[in-house]
Amino acid sequence: MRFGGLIAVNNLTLNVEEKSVVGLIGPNGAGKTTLINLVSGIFRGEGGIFFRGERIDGMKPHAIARKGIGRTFQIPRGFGAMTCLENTIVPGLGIYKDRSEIVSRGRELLKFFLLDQVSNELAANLSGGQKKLLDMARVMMLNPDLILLDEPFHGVHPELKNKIVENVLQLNKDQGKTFLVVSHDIPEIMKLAKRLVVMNAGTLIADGRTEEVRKNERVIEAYLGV
Amino acid sequence: MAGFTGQISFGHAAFFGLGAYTAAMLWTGFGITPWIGMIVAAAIAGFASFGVGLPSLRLKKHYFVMISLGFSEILRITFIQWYQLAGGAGGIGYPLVEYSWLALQFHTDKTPYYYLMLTMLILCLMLVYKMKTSKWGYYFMAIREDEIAAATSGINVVRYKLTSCAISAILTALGGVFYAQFILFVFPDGVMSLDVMSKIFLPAALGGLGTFMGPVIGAFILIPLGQVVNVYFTTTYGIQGLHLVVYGVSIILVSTVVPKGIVGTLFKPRTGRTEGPSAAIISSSATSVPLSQSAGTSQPGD
Repeated sequence: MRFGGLIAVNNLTLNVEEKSVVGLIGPNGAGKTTLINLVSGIFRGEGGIFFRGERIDGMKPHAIARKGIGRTFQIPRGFGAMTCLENTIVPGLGIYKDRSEIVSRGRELLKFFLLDQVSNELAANLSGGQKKLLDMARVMMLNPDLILLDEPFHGVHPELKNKIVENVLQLNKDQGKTFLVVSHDIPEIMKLAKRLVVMNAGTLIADGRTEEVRKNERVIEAYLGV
Repeated sequence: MAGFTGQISFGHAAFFGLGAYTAAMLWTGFGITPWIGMIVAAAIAGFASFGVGLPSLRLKKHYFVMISLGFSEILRITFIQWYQLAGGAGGIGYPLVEYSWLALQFHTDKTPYYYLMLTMLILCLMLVYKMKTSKWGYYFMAIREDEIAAATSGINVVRYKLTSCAISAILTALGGVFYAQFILFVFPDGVMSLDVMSKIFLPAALGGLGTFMGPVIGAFILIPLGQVVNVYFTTTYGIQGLHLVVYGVSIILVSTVVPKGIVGTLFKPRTGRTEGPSAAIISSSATSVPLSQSAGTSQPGD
């Protein structure tokens, strides 16, 4: 994937096992968000992206979302002029027929992400951390099997960070959801992921168990420091 | 279209003109009643909206505005040059017939026109009300708020933008049919010019784009005001065209003082809509379903 003369993602092969939580770290400009944009169909690159054996590169973002890949954004996106509940309802309208079920599920998701007290508040009025949580609630309405979280801890209060960790682990354990989590927050990512993938300059420089990757010399040199 | 999907078009005069010309050409050329003309006009406007929307709705804001304006101008110039059926720059004049519902011509008493327009207004408002609580309405608004978030929420952005454009084009074309039947004379500069476009867009912008009653309130303020100013200054001082100044001032006021329009500014929601149209979908909430149980229990729809 190129942006003018800059190669953002290059010669990268990454497999994410079903029902796992994988952490993706790397310095700024490593290509982490570009990778998520490629998987979610926002960017089109060269090479192939497969989801459960089916090739999905070239598909539109909405088609990829319907296939079962949900994503959040580094800077939370959403429908500011709609309420939090409406934000969670919108993705469900294309999936479920029973509207009462959509609303029930929307309310349940807001409760799960500690937003039930602001369900009738406009999304634009939420704090940055709350918007992150709403982003996740909205994605979960799609009932995706693979969830791509882009910097879920960025600008989030420590208590909310703990809640995010707790929710991700619960969804992984109880519902078998697969997560690929991009983050610079090493302590939080350590709590979440057993497997850590490290990118630098658009390519993969390390991939393995979290503790092993932390000791990897290339990773220390490129990202973690001494 | 601008209110729901956030796609501002300066090309709707083209759809208005298509509606007016379709009815006029069918009646004067083939004797086909304007009632059928409405259906044909709606179909033509719908197809035209796809034709112009498909390549251009992928463009953002200002670029789409320019494309839509270009489309309208191309159509206007085409009709100016089209002498055989459209009468060129001189347009098409309706041959007068007796008071007739079939021909939609009422010369001795204009009251039927009033009730026809009132009916159309009510039907439009009902459509907008229904739309606000529908899946389409939510999708349109989601696209307006954030296209990328909408797309990653499973919404086919291009498809729903086209749908929004087609609905808007059809309604505008129907307005054009009524206009042709009321004035009984259509010509390119009268039905496809920027002046027409400003009369379509400004009332909605002044009242509040995306609001239920905003466009109606905007029209009730702007159109009579423009007419009064025009008549007063023309008859009293012999100065013509001052209503255009009113429109110009309206553009400045809307863009600087009340960008959300009168209704959008006066009734700015501080919190969400616990009442009103958008609450309808929410009010049907059943008992809570645990998140862990609800996953995978639904039947895929759509």
